[in-house]
Parts: sequence; C-alpha cells; structure tokens
Amino acid sequence: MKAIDAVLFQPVGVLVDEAGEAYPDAAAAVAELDALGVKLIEVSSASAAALRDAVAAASIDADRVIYLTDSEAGIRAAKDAGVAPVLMMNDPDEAMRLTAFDPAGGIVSLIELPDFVRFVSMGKR
Amino acid sequence: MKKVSVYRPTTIEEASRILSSHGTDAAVYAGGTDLLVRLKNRLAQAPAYLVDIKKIDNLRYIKEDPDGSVRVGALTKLAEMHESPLLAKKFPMLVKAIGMISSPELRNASTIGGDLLQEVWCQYLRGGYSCWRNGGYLCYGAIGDNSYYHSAMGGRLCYAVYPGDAATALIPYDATVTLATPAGPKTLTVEQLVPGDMMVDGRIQSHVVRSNEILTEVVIPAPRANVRTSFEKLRPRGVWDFAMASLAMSLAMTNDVIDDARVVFGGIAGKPLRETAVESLLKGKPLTADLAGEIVPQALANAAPLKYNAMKIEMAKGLLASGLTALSA
Repeated sequence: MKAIDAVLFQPVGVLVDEAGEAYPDAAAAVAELDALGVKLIEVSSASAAALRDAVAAASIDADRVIYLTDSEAGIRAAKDAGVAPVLMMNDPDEAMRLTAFDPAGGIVSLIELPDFVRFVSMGKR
Repeated sequence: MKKVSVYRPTTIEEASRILSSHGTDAAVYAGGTDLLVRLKNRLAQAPAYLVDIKKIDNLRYIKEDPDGSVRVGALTKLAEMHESPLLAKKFPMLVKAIGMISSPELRNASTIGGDLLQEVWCQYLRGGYSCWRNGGYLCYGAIGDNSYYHSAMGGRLCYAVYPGDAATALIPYDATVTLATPAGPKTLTVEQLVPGDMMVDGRIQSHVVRSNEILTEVVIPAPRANVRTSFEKLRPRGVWDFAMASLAMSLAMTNDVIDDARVVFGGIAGKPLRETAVESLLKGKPLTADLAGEIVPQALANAAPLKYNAMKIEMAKGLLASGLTALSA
C-alpha cells in the first residue's frame, strides 16, 4: 500500500452510527487526520463511479487513496475504482467474513486511522 | 522453517556490527525459545540471520551491588533466576512470577532478555494471517477469537496482548534495562522497554529495542523497607500457558498505611498495564481487609473488551481483590 493522501467515506458507520449519533472518538480522529494533511472526502454512494468522481474532483492519485467501508459492495467498488478498500470493522463477525474479499486493511475505530496512515507512510515491512 | 545463517560473535561490539550490517534481517539469538518458534511459524518478520550471543562472556550472572541493587545479565536463564537465593531473599514476588512462566524445561532454556522481548502469541499471527505484525494492515484478533491472546483494554491497530510475565513483575520494583547500542549504552525502565505495539525500524513490535541494539542487563534497585508484594496469574492450565490475566503489586507501608503503590496487570493489554488510577487510590489508605471492596470496583475503568474477552477484566479485578486481601492479612 502506498502512502495515503486521502480517505473516502460515507458518514454512517464511520463518523456516526445508524441513528445519526456521532461516534465519541470521531472528532479527535478527524482533527488528527487533518493535521497529518490527509483529505477526508465524503462520497455519495458505495459505487465505483462515485469513488472515481471523488478522486477526479480532488485531483489526487487513486493509488494513494483509501475507501473506508463495511460492506462487500464497498470493497468491490473500491477495487473497481482503483482505490484501496479498508474495512471499518464495526461488526466483528461480518468483518471477519469480509476479509475473504481481500481488503487492503482494516480498523476497529476511526481513532486508529491516524496511526494506520502513519504506519503505512513509514513503509511498514 | 526458513533457511537461516548463524553468526557467533564473541563480543558485544562484534554482535552490534553484525546486527547493524543486516538491519531487520538479523536478530539476536540466545535461548531460542521464542525466536526459533517464530522461524518455525514462518512469520514475515522472522530473521534470515541469527546473531548467537551465547559465546559472549559476562552476560550470564546474578550479582549484588554495594548499594543493594541486583544486576542480572541478559543471558541468565529463567531457571537460574527462579533458583537464586539472592533474588528469593530480595525480590520474592519476581521469583514467584518467574516460577510461573511456561514449564521447567523452557525455563531451563529461556533467558531473561528473551522473555522481556518476546513476540506476541496471537493465533492469527502464528497461523500465517496477513496481520499488522505479518506484513498486512488488519488485526484478525480484533474481529475473530479474541478470548485468550487479545487486549481487553483497547488497542492501537494490533490487539495482541504482551505475553511476558517477567516484565510485569519487574515494573513494581522500578527495574531498568541496559541496551548496547551503536551510540553506547542506553538505560530504560522496563515500563519504557515494552510500551505495546510500536513501529520500530519499520516493524510493529511490543518493545522499543531497535534491530541493531542488544539488551545486556536488567538492574533491580534495592528493595525499599516495609514493602509488601504479590504476584498472581490466571491461565488455562497450571503450566505452559500464558496469562489470561496476571497482577504484580507492591505496596510500600508506613505502619499499616500505604505510602506508595505499584499495580501492574499482565495478560489484558498490549503492554504490562500500570493501573495508576488504583495506585493513586491506594496511597494514604490503611491496608485493611475492607480495602479491596472499596478499590476493586474502581479499577480498570478504561476497559474496552472485545467480543469474547470481557472475562479478562473480571479475572483482573478478582486478582486485585485477592492480592489486596492477601497483603492485608
């Protein structure tokens, strides 16, 4: 995986829960990612077209972009769009099932994402 | 097992040069009870070059300094520490903890240096899953069977627990370690040595020792007067197994009042976990039979168990209750 310049996401399951309540650690993670210079880009749907449009609009290299997703459709869309699918492992059993679709990585909570970005950028072996 | 080359340096300087020349492809080889299993498990981070330091003189000893502190060479076997009258007299809690590490056979081979720096025992890592410590970017333990080898106190990408008992038991004694580095000797507290999953030389590991550094010695300061200590460990079987939860505790007393405390849990987090909130609560309190009932409900307030390991927190709290009760008797 290459160094990460941008993160594509849909808010539900990443910033807020199904009821629209913000996750308690989301704001701190967003601030830390901002300090790292990582762009956070909200996408309209888990489709390859939406992901491609977002990458094009931001003028960034697709291979330096990750898409946070908790679905099989999201993993497939990311691969079709040439960005790296990273699992939001909100439900452990579902996340374990989705590892069969070969995501590029996974995080348990958004608060892990700054470290994820750092470790990838540092060229972990 | 992957093919390896073995160097047998006779000085620390020579070993350091070899390690520096191979970077992360090389690793220190002493007792081998952790390193050789990492090779057999074909871990991505397993080395291709082993730097066998057993031919280096003066790394295997237990000796007392005039100030009452005790120095233990990194190549000292765990069995030698367990059988040491000096350690038994001065640091009985450490000796008890070491006696509960694995089995007599492994304690005969394992060194204190290797025990402190051992790799985690996550079954996904050992099973070849492409996890954070095995070349990937995902923790399978966080979403799979995390009942035994994974943190109940949150994580930072890798959720495996630090498995060692010696570090847990050394922290209450404020022990330090000495590292031989290319820039000269470096001293760290044991707590600083194993801070949990860290990126070091491009790898995730539980300790901060770089690939060209060698742990050479553990130093345990002279025990303070009027200190009461305890170590307890819960594990699936009476031998072999790693801690589901463990607790090393020291209470410095003036009469029956606690002046200072060290409360360190093992087996529940990515590092030996100092429960500083409980330490603060204990200070100034009389050590009575009722103390556990007051303190234990407030312990581990930051617990964040995974799907299958909430019982680790209950185990840890149970150890705290039994430890305080035993020390108050």
